[in-house]
Amino acid sequence: MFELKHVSVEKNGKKIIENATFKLEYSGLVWLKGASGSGKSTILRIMCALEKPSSGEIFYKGLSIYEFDIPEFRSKCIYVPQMPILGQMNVMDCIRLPFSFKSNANKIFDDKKLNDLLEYFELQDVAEKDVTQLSGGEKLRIAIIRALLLDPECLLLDEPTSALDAKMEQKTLQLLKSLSDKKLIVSSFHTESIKVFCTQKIEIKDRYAIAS
Amino acid sequence: MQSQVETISLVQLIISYFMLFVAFFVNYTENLKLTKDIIYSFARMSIQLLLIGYILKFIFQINNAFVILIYYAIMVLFAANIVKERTKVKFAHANIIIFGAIFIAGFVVTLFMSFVSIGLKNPFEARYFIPLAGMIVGNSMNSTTIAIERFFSEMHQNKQYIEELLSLGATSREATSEFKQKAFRSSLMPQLAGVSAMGIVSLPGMMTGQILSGVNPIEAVKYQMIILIAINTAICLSVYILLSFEQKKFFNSFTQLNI
Repeated sequence: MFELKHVSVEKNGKKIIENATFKLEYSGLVWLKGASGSGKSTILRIMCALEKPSSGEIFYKGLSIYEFDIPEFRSKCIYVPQMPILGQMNVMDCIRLPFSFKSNANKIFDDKKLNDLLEYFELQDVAEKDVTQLSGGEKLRIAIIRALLLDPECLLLDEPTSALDAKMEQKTLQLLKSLSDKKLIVSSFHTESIKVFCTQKIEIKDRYAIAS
Repeated sequence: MQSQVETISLVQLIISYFMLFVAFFVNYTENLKLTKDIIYSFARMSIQLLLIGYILKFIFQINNAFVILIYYAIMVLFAANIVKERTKVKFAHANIIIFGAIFIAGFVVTLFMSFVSIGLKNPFEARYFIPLAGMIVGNSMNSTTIAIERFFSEMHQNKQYIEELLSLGATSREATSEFKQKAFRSSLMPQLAGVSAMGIVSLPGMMTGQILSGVNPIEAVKYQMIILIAINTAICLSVYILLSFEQKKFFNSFTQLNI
């Protein structure tokens, strides 16, 4: 589904990623591994077209991602940052907000799925709260729920379990694993327990990305 | 309009300046150290107004549409420059965008007022066009300043949030609409507050001027109502044009933030 060809990223004169080349299947859970500051977020951001690489190309279903209408592409390939802000509104409004975007016009808001996900992530009681009252971990889970409701073809997650306790971490990994049967999930994780769940590993070492 | 205003002789004008001695006296007794400022401000005001008085007298005499338009463009140029200096923000083509927004909004609204509201046959009647456009441009200047400042600070403070929305499929317009709304609101609020206080807290300048020159207060009130509506329209239009162009400056052609 995704293919990176000789992708390099340079920021403020410093090379972050050098000559990254790898292919990803249409489904699966891909573990983006690397030390903090190694460029994992940068890889996810360039895959979501939030940043343009300094050189190299990124293909999605055989086409360069820059040949797509970018908002349309991003609605298929959603990126969730490590510490989402979510704005200043009610949690429900925040979850519904992207459904008002033109690129998501054909997506239907599934109330049942929302309730199931809120229950799964133990967030039923925060639905009526204001986003600003949520903790970092709650915000992250709400951002993941929002992304899942949009049902993208590909999910790009940046440390989705970083602010979660051990139990919630396992639940999240299990959910991602089950979802990865039908969609591609590329995610960075700080935990080694992802090993048993992931189908592919991309390791970033000294600016180079090695697929295995 | 009949001219019943008492003319002020040069002697009377000079004597009136003696009122400033009160300011000098207060300044001296209270040790405010403002002598230079008072002299500078009032000298500058006197020269500027006298100069503009003669220029206007000349323009009113020739009453030529082309000259009026040149005068209008210069007025907008000064206003746009003040906006740029006050806001201290930098973005590509800032001069053209600010100038264009104020120029177009002021021009369209002044023409509508002249043609439709007042019913002039010739909309480029200097003694109507210049003061009306002047009031409109002055107000648009203040509003666009507020709008630019607010929009810039919102955009810079919410960079990460905007990217969050972009990564969910938002267009640049959708991702910034909340901040455009905030900028729009803050630029409109001062005028709306002023409009509501009109007649109770303050008697507006134009109306006062017309009453002083002998116009029936009811006529003066009608003019004032129209100009207030016109100002509001021009503010909306200029801020709308400005924000529409300005918003695009924050993104490249791939809907990526470039701040």
